[in-house]
Parts: sequence; structure tokens; C-alpha cells
Amino acid sequence: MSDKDSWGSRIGLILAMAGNAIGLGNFLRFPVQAMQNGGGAFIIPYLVCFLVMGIPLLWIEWGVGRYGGRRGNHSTPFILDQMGRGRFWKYFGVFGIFTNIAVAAYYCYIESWTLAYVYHSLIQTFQSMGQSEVAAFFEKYVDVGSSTSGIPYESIVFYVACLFLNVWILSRGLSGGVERVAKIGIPLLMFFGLFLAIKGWTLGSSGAPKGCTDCNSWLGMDYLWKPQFDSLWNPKVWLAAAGQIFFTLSVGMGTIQCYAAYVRSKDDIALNAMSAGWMNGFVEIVLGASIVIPIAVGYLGLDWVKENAGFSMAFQTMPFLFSKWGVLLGTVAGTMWFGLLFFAGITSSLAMGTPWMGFMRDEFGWKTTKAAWSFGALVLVMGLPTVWFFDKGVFDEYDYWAGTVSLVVFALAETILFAWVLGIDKGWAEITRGADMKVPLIYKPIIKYVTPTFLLAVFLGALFTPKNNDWSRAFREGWELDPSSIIGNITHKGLVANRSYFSSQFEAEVGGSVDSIQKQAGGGFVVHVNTVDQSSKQYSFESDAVPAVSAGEQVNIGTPIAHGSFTNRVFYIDMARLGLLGLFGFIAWQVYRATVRRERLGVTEVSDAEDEDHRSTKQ
Amino acid sequence: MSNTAFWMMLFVKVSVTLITAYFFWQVLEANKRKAD
Repeated sequence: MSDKDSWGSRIGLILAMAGNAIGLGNFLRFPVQAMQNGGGAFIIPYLVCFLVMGIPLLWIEWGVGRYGGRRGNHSTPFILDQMGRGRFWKYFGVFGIFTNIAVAAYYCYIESWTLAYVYHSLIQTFQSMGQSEVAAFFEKYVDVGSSTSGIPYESIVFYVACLFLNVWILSRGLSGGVERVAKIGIPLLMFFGLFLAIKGWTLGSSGAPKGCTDCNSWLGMDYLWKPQFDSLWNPKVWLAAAGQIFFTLSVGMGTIQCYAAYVRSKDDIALNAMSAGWMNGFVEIVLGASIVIPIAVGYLGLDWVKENAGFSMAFQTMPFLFSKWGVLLGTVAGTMWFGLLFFAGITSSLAMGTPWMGFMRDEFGWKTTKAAWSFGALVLVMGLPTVWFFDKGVFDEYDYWAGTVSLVVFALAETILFAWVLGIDKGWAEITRGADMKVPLIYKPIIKYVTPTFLLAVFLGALFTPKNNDWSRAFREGWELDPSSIIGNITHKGLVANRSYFSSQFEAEVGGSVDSIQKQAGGGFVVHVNTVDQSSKQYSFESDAVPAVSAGEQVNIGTPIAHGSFTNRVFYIDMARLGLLGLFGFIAWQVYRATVRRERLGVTEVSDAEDEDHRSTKQ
Repeated sequence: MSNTAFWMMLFVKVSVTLITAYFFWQVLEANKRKAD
């Protein structure tokens, strides 16, 4: 088995681990979650969840990783097998590789957007654009068939380039690739973040357009930080805060275990985990919360941001706002913003490659380069559908199952394994072995009781989310599941029309009246429907379809609005799920092959007594 | 910006910054100790 790779230095390890945690979510997801969950009300549950769930999970995962590394295992299937001593745990450990490949498949796509936007910021593409043009630019960019720069299949070209860069860095190994990128990327990211945060803090109302009374960056910060203690009783806020802790710390993925598996058996993990974890917190709370929301509120107003806060603001709003700072500063700010997001992204996506690589090197003796390229090939196969069928929901499907549900399931199971199956005493000894800090004893019962309870609550909350996330009403008036709950997702509860894969008619998805039917220049037509809630919905059709309604006609959900030959969204969603199941099955098959190979070679597990001197990697 | 929000923001941001700096400093100190 290969255990030749190692970290070059302790600082490098901490920066790589922090880089793994610091991702796009620190700058985009956190402020949006805070906005959508009552602003200041969110921060208290967030901090509590960090203390009782985030920190314990960090220690558990670092401990699990070093425990495995000491026995020559660098990925979760055989680490969990050793800890749990059962076939179930070995195959459950597949999650620790599966999640990374599936998340990398769509994460590299977002990362490639940041790379493309750095390029467009540098050539000042956005300087003369209005807000709607910047938003339309993004729509055009993600439409595979069109190009914003003359490069054919631009979004795919940037995606492949980004993936190639990841693979190349991974093929250089831990200290020569991942660690080197972290040592450059994290300080640069902090510098860029600080620059933009200072702009956010000092903008005030200087950018307010005439007549806008709520265009003031301080109003944005006021909303983010004003405590609203009554919201503390809302389970929705707590679930959102716990979810954010998962995303931000990259726990439940298998990457921390993999990185920690390359730490020497007697070296500290407790202080390293704290240092990397709090560094992530600093980037999220101090920098992340000071950029998008305050700057957007400064120019567009608090009401606008409350209504439109979302992930797409980074690409559809920020370039327009930067262009208001003049040509030079706008170019610098745009490059810094997307550069910052790129570094945040790549330090995370690199981490996603290491569990698969560690597994293939351990079990099949693959060289680092071969393992890196095989990771790239798997990500490409899984990722192209997210690029090609982005608007069909494939991307969101990957994000939900691999990037959300799998994390919670895996973290819950590994916490039970660590605290109850391996046993809290052995687990505690693992965390405190060689520790350069005194680990507070209170965390022993927290890890055993509080963390698994929290995780179970998060899982059950996601499984049975009540309609409109209204918990008090569900308890009072009966439980109706929300389409966003896990069960609602499995049963396609949110799909009210067009529920078959293929059909000869397309049904209206909302009720209302047909406002107009517009013919498109290249053939095809668009049906505009004014919905009953005063908003509007557009349906675009290709040239081979014919309208089944006319202007002024009333339509209900399920009313046919066009005839033709249609492949519905549910088809792409189910294919995406099948693809994810296929990936899980493929990795499980590799684990089976590895087990057979181990038996054939007579590889025996290293026992607790003899593991002390098993490894001798340099640090 | 209200006073409560300002002090809450200042308190959380300063605390997180200090804690982050403290742990990083501890790492540097531990490294120095081990090198000695």
C-alpha cells in the first residue's frame, strides 16, 4: 500500500484544510442564508451550531482520518471498516468518496464561471452594461449553444480548462500541488476579501441612486446584525444555521478524513482543527458577511436585496455594481471578487480529488498522476450533464442529493460510529493524542450526546420539512410535507404538471391568463402567462411545437398550452439521480474489488497495539 | 445602523478575529517549542 505522500509543513496542512473549508459558500451562501432567515436572528443559532456541532465534527473527522492513516488507509471505506469492524461500515464509507466526485462534478462548473468572469472582468466586458444586460450575460453564458466571447461552446471550454487545472495540481501530490496552491491562494483570498469588505463597510449611501431611500450599505449590515431573539424559537432558522455549518466546514464529505490521514500518528490534530476551523469562520463572518449584501444594498436598496438575495447575485449583480466604481477600480474589484471566488473554489475542489486518489493508491497501487487523471475523467463524465442540461435541473439535483443530503447522512453515521461503536473513550484518546492544546472536557459528553442529537434533528427536519417550512402551523394543524423535504423530493411533490418523461403536449405549470404569444426570430414561440399571484411566467418552445392556447385564454395547472414532442424536466431529474446511483454503485464495486484483492494478497488490518509505529511519513 | 446591531457586529467580528488569531498563534508557538 502506498503511503508515500505527506504534508510538507504544519502551516501548509492548516492552510490546505482551511482552503478545503473556505469555499464559495463563505461569500455567497452565508450572507444569503442570514438574509433569508431573519438577519441578526440567524447569527446566534449559527454560532451555537458551530460550537456544539461544527467543532465536534471537525475533531471527529480529523480523529477518524489520523486513525485510518496510522493503519495505512487514506479514504473512508477501509477507515470506517477498521473502526466499525463490519461490512456495513466499509460500504457506508463509499459516501466519503462518492460525495466528493459528485460534488466536484458541479462545483468545478461554478468554479469555471469564476475563471471565465475573471477573464471578462480583465477585458472589461461588463463596463458598459446595465444591470439587466449583466444578468442576461450570465443566462447566455450558461446556455451551451451560445457564446459571450466568440469562443464556441465557451462554458464547456472553461469547465474543461478548470478541471484540467485541478487534475494537473492534484497530479503534483499533496505538498507539491495542493499545499502550494493553498499557501498562495488563501493569503491572496484574504487580501482580496479584506479590500472588498472595506469597500462594503465604507460605502454608506454614496452610491445611492436618486430617490432611493433604502440604498445604504449600513442598512444591509443593520439587517444582518440586528438581533431578533423571538426567531430563536423557529426550527427553520436552526435548521438553516446547522445546514450552513455543514457547508461551510466541509464536514460529512470525507475530505477532512483524507487530509488528516496524512498526519503523523503522534502529531497534534486538536489545535490544527481549531486553527483551520476558526480561519474558515473568520473568512465567513468577518469578510463574507461584509461584501455582497452591504454593497448590493448600497446601490439597489434593502427591499430589492431581501427579495432577490440568492446565489446568482455574485454573477448577475456584482459585475454591474463594480462597474459603478469607474473603469480602473471596477476592473480591479471585479478581478479581485471573481479571483477570490476562484481561489475559494479551487482549494475546495482540490480536496475533493484526494479521497478517490488515496483509495486507488492504497488499494490498487496506482501512481499519483494516474489517480489524478482518473479523478478528472470521472468528474468529467459526471459533470458534463450538469453543464449541458444546467437549465433542466441536473445541477440542482446533484447539489441536493450529493451536496446536501449525503453530508448529513454521512456525518450522522460517522458520529455514531466514533462515539458509540468505537466508543467515546477511544475516540477521545484519538482526539487528544499529541494535542498541543487542552481540549475542554465538556466536549466529551457533547460529542457523545449533543452532536448526534443535533445531527439527527437536522436529518429528520430535512426528511419531514413541513409545507412552506411553517413548523408551528404543522404542529397545530397537521403535517403536510413541503416539496423541498427529502420525501417530497423523492416523490416529485413539487412537479404539478408534465409528470411523464415524454409527452405530446406541454401543460401549464401555474394558473392564470395567457398574456401574449410571441414568435421568435429563429423559429419557435414564447407563451407569456400572467399568473394569479400577479407575477408572470414564460414558456419557450422550439419551432416544431404549435401553440394550444391563444392570448386572453384562461389556463389552469395542467392545461395543455402547446402540442409537439416534449422531453420533460422530470426525465432529466430522474436520469441525474440514476447517474448518482450509478456512481455510488461503481465506487462500491471498487471497494468490493479492493476487498477481494486484500484477501488474495493476505493484507491484514493493523491492530490498535501495533499501529503506533506503522507509519513514518515525513512532516 | 442601530446601536444594538453595531455592537453585536463589532462584538462577533472582533471575537472571531481574536479567536482565529489566538489559535494560529498557538500553532506557531507549538511549532517553535517543537523546533527547540
